[in-house]
Amino acid sequence: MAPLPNRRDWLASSACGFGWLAGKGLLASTNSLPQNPLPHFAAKAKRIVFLFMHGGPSHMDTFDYKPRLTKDDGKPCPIPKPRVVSSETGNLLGSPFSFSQKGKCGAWVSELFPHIGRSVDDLCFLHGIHGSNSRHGGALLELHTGSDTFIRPSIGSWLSYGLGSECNDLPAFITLAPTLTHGGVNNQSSAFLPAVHQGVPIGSAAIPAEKARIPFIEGGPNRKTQRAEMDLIQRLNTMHLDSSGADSRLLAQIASMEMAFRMQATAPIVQNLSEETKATHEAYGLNNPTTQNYGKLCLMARRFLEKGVRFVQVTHSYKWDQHGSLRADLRKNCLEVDQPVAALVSDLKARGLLEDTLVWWGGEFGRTPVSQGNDGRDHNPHGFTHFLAGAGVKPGFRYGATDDYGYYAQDGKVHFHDLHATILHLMGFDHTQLTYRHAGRDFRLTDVSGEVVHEILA
Amino acid sequence: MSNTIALMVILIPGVDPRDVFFESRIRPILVNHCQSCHGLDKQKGGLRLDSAQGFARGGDSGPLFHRDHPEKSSILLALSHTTDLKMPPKGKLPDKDIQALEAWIRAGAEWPKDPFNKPDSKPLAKTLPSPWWVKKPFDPIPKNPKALRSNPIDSFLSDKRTQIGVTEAPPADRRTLLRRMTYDLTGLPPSQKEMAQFLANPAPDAVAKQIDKLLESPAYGEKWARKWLDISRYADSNGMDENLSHALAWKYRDWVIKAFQKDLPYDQFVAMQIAGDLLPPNVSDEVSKDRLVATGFLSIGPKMLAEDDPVKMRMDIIDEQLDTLGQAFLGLTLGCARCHDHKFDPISTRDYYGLAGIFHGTNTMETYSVVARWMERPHLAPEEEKKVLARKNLFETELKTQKDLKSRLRKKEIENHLKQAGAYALAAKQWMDTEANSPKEPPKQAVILEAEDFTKGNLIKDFNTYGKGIGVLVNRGELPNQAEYASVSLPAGWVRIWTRHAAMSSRPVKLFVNNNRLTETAANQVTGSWTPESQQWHIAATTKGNSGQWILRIESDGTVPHIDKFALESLPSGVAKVQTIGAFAESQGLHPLVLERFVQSMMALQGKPWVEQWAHLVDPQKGPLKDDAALDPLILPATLADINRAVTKIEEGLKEVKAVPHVMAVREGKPTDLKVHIRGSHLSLGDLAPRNFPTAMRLNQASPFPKDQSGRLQLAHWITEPHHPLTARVMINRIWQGHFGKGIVRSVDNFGNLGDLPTHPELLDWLAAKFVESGWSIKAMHRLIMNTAAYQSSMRMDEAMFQADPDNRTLWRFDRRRLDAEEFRDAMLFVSDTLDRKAGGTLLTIGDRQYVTSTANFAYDSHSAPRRSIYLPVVRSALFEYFQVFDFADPSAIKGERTATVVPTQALFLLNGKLLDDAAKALAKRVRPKTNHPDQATLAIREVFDLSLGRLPNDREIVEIKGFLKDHPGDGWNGLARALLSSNEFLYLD
Repeated sequence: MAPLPNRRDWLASSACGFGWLAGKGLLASTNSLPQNPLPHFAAKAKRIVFLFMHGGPSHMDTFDYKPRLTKDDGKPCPIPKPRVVSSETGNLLGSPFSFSQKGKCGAWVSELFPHIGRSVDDLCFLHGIHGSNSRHGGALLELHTGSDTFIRPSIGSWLSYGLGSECNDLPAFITLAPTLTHGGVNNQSSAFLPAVHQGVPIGSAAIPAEKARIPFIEGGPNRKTQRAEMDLIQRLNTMHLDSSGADSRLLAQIASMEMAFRMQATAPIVQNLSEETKATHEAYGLNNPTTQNYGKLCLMARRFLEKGVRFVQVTHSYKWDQHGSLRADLRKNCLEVDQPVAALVSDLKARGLLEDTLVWWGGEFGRTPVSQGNDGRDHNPHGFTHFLAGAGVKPGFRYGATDDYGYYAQDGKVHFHDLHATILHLMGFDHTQLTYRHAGRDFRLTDVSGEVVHEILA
Repeated sequence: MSNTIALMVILIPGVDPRDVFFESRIRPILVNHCQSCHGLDKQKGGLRLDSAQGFARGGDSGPLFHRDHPEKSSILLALSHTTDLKMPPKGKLPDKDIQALEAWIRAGAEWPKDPFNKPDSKPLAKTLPSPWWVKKPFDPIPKNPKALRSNPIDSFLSDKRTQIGVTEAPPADRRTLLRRMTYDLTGLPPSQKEMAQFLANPAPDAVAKQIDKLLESPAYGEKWARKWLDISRYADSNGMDENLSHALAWKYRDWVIKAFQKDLPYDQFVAMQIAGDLLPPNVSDEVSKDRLVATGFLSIGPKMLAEDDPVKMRMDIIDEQLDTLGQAFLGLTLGCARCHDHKFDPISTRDYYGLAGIFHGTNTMETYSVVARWMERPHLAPEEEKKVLARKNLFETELKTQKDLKSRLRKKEIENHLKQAGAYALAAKQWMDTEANSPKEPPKQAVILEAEDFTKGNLIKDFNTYGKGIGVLVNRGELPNQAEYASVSLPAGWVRIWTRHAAMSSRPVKLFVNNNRLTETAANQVTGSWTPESQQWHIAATTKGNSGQWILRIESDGTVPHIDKFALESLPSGVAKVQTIGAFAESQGLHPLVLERFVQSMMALQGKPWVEQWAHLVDPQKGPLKDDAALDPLILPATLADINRAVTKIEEGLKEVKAVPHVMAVREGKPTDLKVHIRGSHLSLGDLAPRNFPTAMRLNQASPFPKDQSGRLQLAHWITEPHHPLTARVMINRIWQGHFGKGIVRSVDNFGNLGDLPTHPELLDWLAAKFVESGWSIKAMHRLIMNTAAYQSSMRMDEAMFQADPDNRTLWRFDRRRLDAEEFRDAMLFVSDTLDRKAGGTLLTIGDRQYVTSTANFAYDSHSAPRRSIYLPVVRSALFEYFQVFDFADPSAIKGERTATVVPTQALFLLNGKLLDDAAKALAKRVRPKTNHPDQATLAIREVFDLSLGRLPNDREIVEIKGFLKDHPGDGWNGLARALLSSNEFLYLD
């Protein structure tokens, strides 16, 4: 019979090795196998990919068609501006881009997103998203963690905590090319949840997709030398274990070494895109210098999802902050992501993965219908658009609306808390019940708010 | 249903008409819009709106109804949707409903006494729950256990063990014990010499002597200060949204190290961190300077520096301070009471705002406008600081006088020039017509200067974003911005100077040639954006010179446009018409600067009706002569020069004053009492909550808060009262946890109802009382705890005892622990003899308040210094990757006990990390034998074991390793060293 720490400690401290321990009969004495809270009801979605547009994409130039804004271009804004603003703004600025209705559902999409425009019948647009903070830092944190003020676990960490990992040689929460600013790692941190739930970064905004790696996965001696050393380490560890008596932490450490060794082999394979067909490369835009970087990240994301990673975030870095150069820069940003995003949705669908994978696209806020300078828009957390697709949400659906100019969410308002509640619901959780006790309180992703948006559920 | 009720009531004879109104108009609203959240099933915010009692009691955030001033009732505010508290949350009620509710409230909000008024099934009285320490106040006189063993701690522990039938483990062997004691007190392994001396000393007091020796080592302070830094969430950068460097925070860190080394009594240690600046004077300068440093505790937390709402920012910072202070010193989660009464502990919102007022009366920040600045004070003794501040004040007053004078004179000149607006407008038109015929870009033969090729200057060269592909100048931040270029040879005569720049708003710069200022408005044109595609050529000035050498210089007291190039175009001497705008202005009897401004405005307004243009030109607030310092040259040159000379002198003085060393610290502000913030929002205020201590812990003080002080001093005194129910208990528990891995109260940062109960309450109180009795000496507590059989016991395993007490709550054996991130790193450097023991100071290479991280890079990445880990900068949001992997405490929040996770990224580090690889190579170098003789190999294997694990290998291990060395494909000794440093025996401490 082996000494094992109590279950809470065990949960907090080990990521792996259960099977190994069970194999040795070392778990027989515990009442139950260590486990995550597990879903409260049958989940529609098993995994998520979050396509994060850092900077705040303009909704009224992309998915939120505002003819009245175009008509009143240059006129003073007839509705009051918010109490707190981040910069001085002028009169209404109509979208310089043309819109048309797409698909069977007739969703309005601007000329900037031709590829996504062709996928609208798979998408569910939320036009009434709103948050509480008008600065990047606060808004990023609120989007990722539900709090714009304090350090809290990221949504990916909550899901890793709630569901655990589906594969034994990759982490449950991966974030591709995360930003280093506006909270940086706090946006993928597990905060007070056990560290095993933190998002493992692969690359960063500073690193091109093909060079992105899991920390410390490279740099050691060659594989053969390393295997020889691993064998020595494990022999030393086994002798140490024999002399000191069984100890689950020592066992876990031994198992963890093996998992890391395997991860060194698995991760590069998942990230190796040359296994994909020429047609797939073409579809994701890998042959085009404008789309290749985000295309590679999206394709990598699909490969991680296939392996069973729960939450994959793909950040398109801080480029969407059009205080100026709206006409030129927004067009450029959209070009960079349009084809890869659409390709990812179609690819998931073609592989039957869209049925239980949730795709989520959006930024930390939208932008103002009033101009900043003569070619820019300021931050606007009061109403903007995100879209979802796949598992459990209505396809070809539009929910919510902003006012005639796109300033404030008006109908079907969905606060970040509501969005989080809905995503947890799709993953099989009652957001009020997925809690973790810390510092004297049961914390949850949605704090004390959040309501599931039932209207968009399929 | 509600309509039925209304009808029924109307039909009942003798019913009060007020009730009719209530039932027909009010109850339907409550039923349809409120009770789904505030009714029988749910009571969001602790509120019920289905009964008179519920309504009268209100919610977590206080009463809804103001009896004396019904119009001020908070329910009306919530219904109006004008503040953060909006009810119903999904949308405002129809106006007629709001009007009805208003009428009802103004009339006194009476509920009918009728059978429909359902009794409230939930308890009405709101009592705050009491944790164990409220029921068991703290008596600072130690109560000894009944059966006395040589150390009473062992007696307390034995009692508990006997109760469940387990016994104490036998003592650990001396080798294990020395490793344990040395790591616990210094964070390092013992050296070979220390081990040999200790093993050779059979004296009965050898262990006690060794503890004393370790406590005197400077390394003791470096180990235990780090524990406190986890609690005080220490970091060298702000983190959060604007990650600016705290370049002075290291002074606080070094002070904590010193405090532990000198065994500063804990009550003073606490008081200094809360109110060091307010403690009674009559101490040495050194002490008073330390006291100022200690208040850094209040300002090193993470702060949202770019919150657009300054009031919210201020309250958020106060909340962070209170939350840290509560958990650090009291084990209380005070922050929970910001929005509603604490759900589990005896802290009401009133208590919370009673404490928050203390910090509202304290200045933690210099400004709250984005990007906000935290307070930094001269690092001087009080008298010296006063002198410096008085000098600063004097200079600032003088500066203001001079600037006011300048402003007055300037405004007068502006008025005079505005009277000639007509003449200026005409001249401007004339000049524009001339300009219209001038070329749009410099001719091919013009000499081009790349803006980024300056020879002297302080501007930043950007090649990646604004200057992608071309290279441009962007701001330096430190004013004035300037750049000077190598001399250009062009024939004597007329030269035209061009700029190529991009700008979204006008940012004029001063242009000098051969030290003559040609214009103040070079590159002032708006071109559309800051990015390369908006780059445009513009003529900046035309000038005449005789030397044939042209030295270009630009300068700006503000931000600069993104300048790509300059061009110098030699003009043929025959071009008689060539003229500068300055010369042209003078020929018309006008001031060149004013004319430039008029031209600029009229260019921008081209095409607009003349009436509109004229209105703008003569508009003193928005027009071209809008008052600003750039119009100073309108003042009579001699007068202006006099003023400027005076200003320069004052500014030099100010610079000198500002150059004295500073420190992150707080300062007394305006004493304030705050109102309760309903649901934590400063936009919906409730009753006044005068500054006070939480009701449950008042300790018999009467009106402790003077009107002229923040109350921090009183707070410090209160927390450090010997019989405070929490302070001594919380700290002694932390010290205990530092030795046994778990506290007596296992939730070390939470002594509230959701925390754990003490496993040994009598022991906890005895220790806490001893702590107070010793004069709050932390070192005395180490001695007391470590000189016990429990601390010195082995990790002996026993299945029966394991069954009886699997969590080891009775300490029937000693618990193994993993080294923490710092110990692991420092030990690797120590055994490889590469650790630099230099103490103190900062390794941060970046200036104060500079950005440490941005979208795609870290400004700080040199964690490679071989110093002890505590001296490596802690950059929030960009922690040292290795630390992060090994469970370093996230410096955004207090962490009294670190977790020890086992995650694959740690193993990846062991396999591939450079830090481990470098240490292994250095360790291998220490032992690698010079020849291949088998005896030499055996000796080297023994040596490398002794160095790394503090023991000699057994025969089986020697055989294994010899086999490995024989088969190893690379350098076997490096491989062996890597394996030893990665082994569980190195990573885990027995």
